[in-house]
Amino acid sequence: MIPAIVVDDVLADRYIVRRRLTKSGLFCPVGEAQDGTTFLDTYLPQPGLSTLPEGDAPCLLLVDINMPGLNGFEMIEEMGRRLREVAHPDPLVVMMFTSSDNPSDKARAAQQPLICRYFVKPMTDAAVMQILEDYAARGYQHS
Amino acid sequence: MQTPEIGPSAPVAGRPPPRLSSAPTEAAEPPTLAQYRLALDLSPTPLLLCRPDGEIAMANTHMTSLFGYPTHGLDGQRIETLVPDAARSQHPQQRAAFLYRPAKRRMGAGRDLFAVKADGSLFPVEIGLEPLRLEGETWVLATVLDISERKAGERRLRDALDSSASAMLMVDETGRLILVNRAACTLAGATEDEMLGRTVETFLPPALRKAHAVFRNSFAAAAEARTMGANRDLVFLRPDGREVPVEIGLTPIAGQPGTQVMATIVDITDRLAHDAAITERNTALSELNAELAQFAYSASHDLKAPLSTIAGLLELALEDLSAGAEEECRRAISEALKSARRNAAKVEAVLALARAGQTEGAPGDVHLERAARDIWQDLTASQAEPPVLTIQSLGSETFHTHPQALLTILENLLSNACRFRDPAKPDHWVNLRIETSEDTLNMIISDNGPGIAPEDLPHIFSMFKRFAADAGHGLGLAIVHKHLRRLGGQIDVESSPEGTDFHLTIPAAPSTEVRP
Repeated sequence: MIPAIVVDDVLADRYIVRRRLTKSGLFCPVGEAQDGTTFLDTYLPQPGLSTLPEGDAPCLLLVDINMPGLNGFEMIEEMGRRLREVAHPDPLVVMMFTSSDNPSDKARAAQQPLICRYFVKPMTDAAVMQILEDYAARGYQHS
Repeated sequence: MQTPEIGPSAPVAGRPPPRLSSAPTEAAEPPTLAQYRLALDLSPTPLLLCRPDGEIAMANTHMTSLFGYPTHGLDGQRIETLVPDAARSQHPQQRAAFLYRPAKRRMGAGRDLFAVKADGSLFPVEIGLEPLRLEGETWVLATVLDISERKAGERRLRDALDSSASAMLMVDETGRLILVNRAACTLAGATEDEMLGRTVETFLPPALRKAHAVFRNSFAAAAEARTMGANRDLVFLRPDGREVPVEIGLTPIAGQPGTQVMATIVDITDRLAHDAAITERNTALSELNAELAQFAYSASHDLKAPLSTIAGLLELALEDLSAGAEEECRRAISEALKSARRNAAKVEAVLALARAGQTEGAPGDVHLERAARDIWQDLTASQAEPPVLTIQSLGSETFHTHPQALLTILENLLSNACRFRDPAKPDHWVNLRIETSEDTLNMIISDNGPGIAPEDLPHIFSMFKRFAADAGHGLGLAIVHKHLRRLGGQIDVESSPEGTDFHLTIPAAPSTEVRP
């Protein structure tokens, strides 16, 4: 099973993602955070300390861009700083998951080495297939 | 030129040519009157000989025809016949003064002289006077030159210079003004007489005068037409102390003595003002353009996001329907409905923001406290335990402003104060302090909500910025800001975990009433 966390301030969007991931039967547990600060406080509360869920594969992190407080990019930067102190070599697979198809947002995502994919909402079964292929490419074959 | 006619009394054969001299030599016999007659008639210029008592002894044909008289028509006439009325009465005295200390000279130095023709018309003349010893007395030989053509030429040149919109100053080799046109007088706010003879440095700011004198000399040394002070801002100093921004062209004019310089000066006050206005407008347009780009980005993203959510929910609902999962289907549809309603409200707000200031009505008097209470009533009507609103009013109850803009500002600020409550606090309150004066409204809207984080404060007036989950459309303060800018007002915010204060200052709208 692949653990997953959705960071999004819109409840309905988190619900949709949870339904899509659960439907594939390959993601569990699916955690949620309503903004960047909550995510950091919950899973990386201080340098060197991680409570990120562990499973058969690295945790999937789906992050929205436009959120109150820290936006998605700012959250990922801070997350990167905190992850440096953590022992895991490859604890997360980070994907942007947003309603913005603005070129400047896409460009910024491309420049951030932690982000490996950029999805435009809404989450679909096809997007879930893509995520699974990305995991397969990393050597995590789903059965 | 005509060959002089030979008059009846001339010539006398076998005599030596007559000599015209103011200082007859002792050795030679003084010329006779007849000899003078011959000399006058041979002369190519208009000449007349006048007795000491002012009677014209003789005038040559150039003189008589110049004045419109028949040949010999002036002989025996009073010299004053040829003097204009205005000067006639003084002329005998002036004549006597000349004879008292006779010397060859030009008449009326520095003045414009006129003479009277037989038909009574005046014409401009230049007159040369030369005393002669004749019959033991001092006679006067006068030359008269008609300078009508020269005067007309000067006037034409003068008219041409005066018709120029540019100020023109002619400067001699010592830096003094020797000619100014009408535009130059207008530029300086001075008369021609006040300007002529002054140095050109008089019209420069004192700090530049010394340097300019040096520049002027080097220009004179290697004079060629050019514009002055390339890349520098030039200033013309008026006698009244006002400085005028100018552009100056310099043209050397070879003259006697030395090189003169014609300076052509254009007052560029209006052009600079125009340039400044265009620059200002460009800046405003650039700002507007940036605002529009931001608006387009924010609007496209923030209006699209709920539609994506709705699409995602409806896809789930369809699948749930096929699977017969009625409960899940119902939940997805009702979530979709909520999103749709919220988005409709957001579209309204975006439109309100876009329209802010476009459909402004006439200014009017707003009863501030009443308006605030009405708004609060609407905001809290459906709430079980709304915060407590208190209002303090100082000064006039009403304020002259654009009502719709002010009400929108109040509504958004009160709505924020009402919605953002700190659950950690036992009670919730909102305080509105209103203080009006003749021309200014000061308002402070305070709440004891959770406060705004310091890092968020710089962004609170940006579009679609939300600082709490599920906290409205993120446009309220952007709308407040835009309306305030329209009213020429200002807003400051102070915030801490104790609560938030918004301070507003709004100038009164200009009164449109016509007072008796």
